Amino acid sequence: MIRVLVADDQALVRAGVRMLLQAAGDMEVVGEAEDGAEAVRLAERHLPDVILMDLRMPRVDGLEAIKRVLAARPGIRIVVLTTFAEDADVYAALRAGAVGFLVKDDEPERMVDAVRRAATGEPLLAPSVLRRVVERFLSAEEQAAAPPPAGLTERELEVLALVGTGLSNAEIADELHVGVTTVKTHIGAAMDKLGLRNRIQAAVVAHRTGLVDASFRPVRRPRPPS
Amino acid sequence: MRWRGLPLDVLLAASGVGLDLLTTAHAGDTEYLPAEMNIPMALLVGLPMGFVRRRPVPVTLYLAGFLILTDQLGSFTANTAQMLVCVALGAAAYRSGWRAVAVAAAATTAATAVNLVDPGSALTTNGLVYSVFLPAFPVLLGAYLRSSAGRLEERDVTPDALLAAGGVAITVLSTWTSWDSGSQPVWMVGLLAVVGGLSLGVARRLPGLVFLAQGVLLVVTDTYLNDAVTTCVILTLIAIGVFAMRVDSWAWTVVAYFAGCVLTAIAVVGPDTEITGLRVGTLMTLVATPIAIGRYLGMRQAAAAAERLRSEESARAAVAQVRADQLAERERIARDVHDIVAHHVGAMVLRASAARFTAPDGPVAEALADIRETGHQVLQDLRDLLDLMRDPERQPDLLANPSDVVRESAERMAAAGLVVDLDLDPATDQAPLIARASAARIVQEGLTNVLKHAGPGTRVRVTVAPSEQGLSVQIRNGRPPSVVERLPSSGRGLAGMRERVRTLGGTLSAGPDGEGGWLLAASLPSRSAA
Repeated sequence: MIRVLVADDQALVRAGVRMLLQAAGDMEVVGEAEDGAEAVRLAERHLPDVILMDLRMPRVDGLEAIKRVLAARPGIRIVVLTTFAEDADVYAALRAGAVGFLVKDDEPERMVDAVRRAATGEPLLAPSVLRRVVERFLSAEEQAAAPPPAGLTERELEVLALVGTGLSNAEIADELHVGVTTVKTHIGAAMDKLGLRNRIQAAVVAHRTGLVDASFRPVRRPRPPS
Repeated sequence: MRWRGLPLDVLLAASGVGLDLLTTAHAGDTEYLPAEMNIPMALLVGLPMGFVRRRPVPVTLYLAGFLILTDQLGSFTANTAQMLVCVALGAAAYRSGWRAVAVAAAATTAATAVNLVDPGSALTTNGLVYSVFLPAFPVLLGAYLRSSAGRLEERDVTPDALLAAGGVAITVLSTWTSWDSGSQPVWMVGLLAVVGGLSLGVARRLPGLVFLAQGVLLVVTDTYLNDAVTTCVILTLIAIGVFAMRVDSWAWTVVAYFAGCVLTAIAVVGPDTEITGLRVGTLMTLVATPIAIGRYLGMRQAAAAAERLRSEESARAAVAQVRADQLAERERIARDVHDIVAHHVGAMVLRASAARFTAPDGPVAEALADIRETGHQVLQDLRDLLDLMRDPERQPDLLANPSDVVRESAERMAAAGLVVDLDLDPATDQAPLIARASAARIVQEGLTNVLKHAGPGTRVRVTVAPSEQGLSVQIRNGRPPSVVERLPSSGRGLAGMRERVRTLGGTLSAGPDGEGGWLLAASLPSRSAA
């Protein structure tokens, strides 16, 4: 069972999400928060796998709540619930460590699927959406290409590049002819070394350091002399 | 801005008197007047100049009469009167109503004609032309200054043209009588008239150089062409005036003043001239006059320019402020729409989605699906609307209801002569805002094209209706009623429409409908391709 916490000031949304997730069968809503402060409190109490978090909430807003939750519990995956994908706040939330976002008028199937993916650490964003997100990130931050991340093994760099293209773990495993568990291990190691919270940040790093080119293809790097 | 101050009037009167004293300095007894009358005559001709600013028309009439009188008496003061009457006429044109100016100009023209035609010589065409043109210049100059004295533009060449023409006129007029009798050939005098006079045309732009040139000309004339010395003094004084107006430096103005004094002295002091205090004073006052006038005009111009700059600046600031207010207001509305409306609609859609997801198939599920679909549509429209409102380039009228735009456009074209038959399906209101707005633009553009190419009287049928894809727009016009005179067309309208439709992922076609008419058809998808 995937344990989900819903934080939204609107009862309509909370009821909707609860209904939807219960119908899915493999997940349950362990708590409902009406504002950011309550979300932080309930996250501590219930230690959910996934939090669905609205950004516009009274008192403590979603962005602040995301920061507080992740500071205390970095393992919790937070998915932003938003009315419009284009909001600047969405990007701020992704930067703060949210693993992805859902638009409230998305298809219900997609919402259920997104919670599942978030729980397993799969990429939440389709490559096309990831592209937009990365572009927003890169235009917001310095455009200058940073040197390739240091301290990563060749395999980890390779996996990081593929994360940057938007592939899922299974697809990466296919590409590299290794098992999904191996891929997860590599990604986890790379993100640990780089101090990253989620795949979006990893994808952004892959882009900014030139592991992925502008058309989202991994860049073949010459192997360093051993 | 009115000229104030008695000193200026006194200065004008003194200058008038001084001018006459200078021109008649060498004159001895004439047929009717003894040499002792020089000073009274100078006072008679010069003193009225003190009133020229307040009563320019009477002064002009007086001087015209005086000109005729002195001409009949054979007095040299006639030359002075001829110059001063032109000045007075210019002042009249600057200050008075056009009827009074017409009277003054007529009097001046008559007096000038009498003056130019010497007793015994026939009235030539040249003489007539000069007597008409000579007064015309001050009238033009005065009228020009009246219309735009405060805003002389740097790029405006009218004052330059007037200066040049005035310079030539002065030169020709003042040397007129000696063209045949002088010590130098006529072409030389003509050359002086052209060069000396024309050079004033560039005096505003090259004040120093022109002043220098006039000085050189004066010295040369003093040596070789004695008849034209007075003319050169006048040109030099004008050049000094322009110099003082254009050069914004007191130091250089003082230099110009003393140079002017020296030059004038060179011109008027002959080997046997007795130098008296009065004469020196007169000369210095004479040279000071153009400087004072030039300086005054220069300051006035600078003040006007500064004022203009200030008002332009404040107008710009006001426009920018209004624009900023508008944008801020729009942003505020956009935020409200976003935070309040969209937020709630989003929640409703999510709720309906979840309910539909769990409900068994049936009428309830259908109803929920409908609610979800509509809510989804509303959110899309809101997103478009917010984009519109947040785009600072967007004109506010684009926020008008597209259906109104279509109706208005049809009405306007009907008023322009087209026979418009509008079929606007009410169901189009369900189409996305962006599609409806585009349809409205296409109708506007299409009807304009029909009017341009087929002309008034043409029958047009406009159809806007929902289609399978989204929205369909058709503008079909019949055969033009007559061979029309085609209005100019940039050809950009159709290209612009095509581009707009293409961006939305739709199609647009235009061509003959096979029945002598023309059909423009566009299909707009309900969802944008982006």
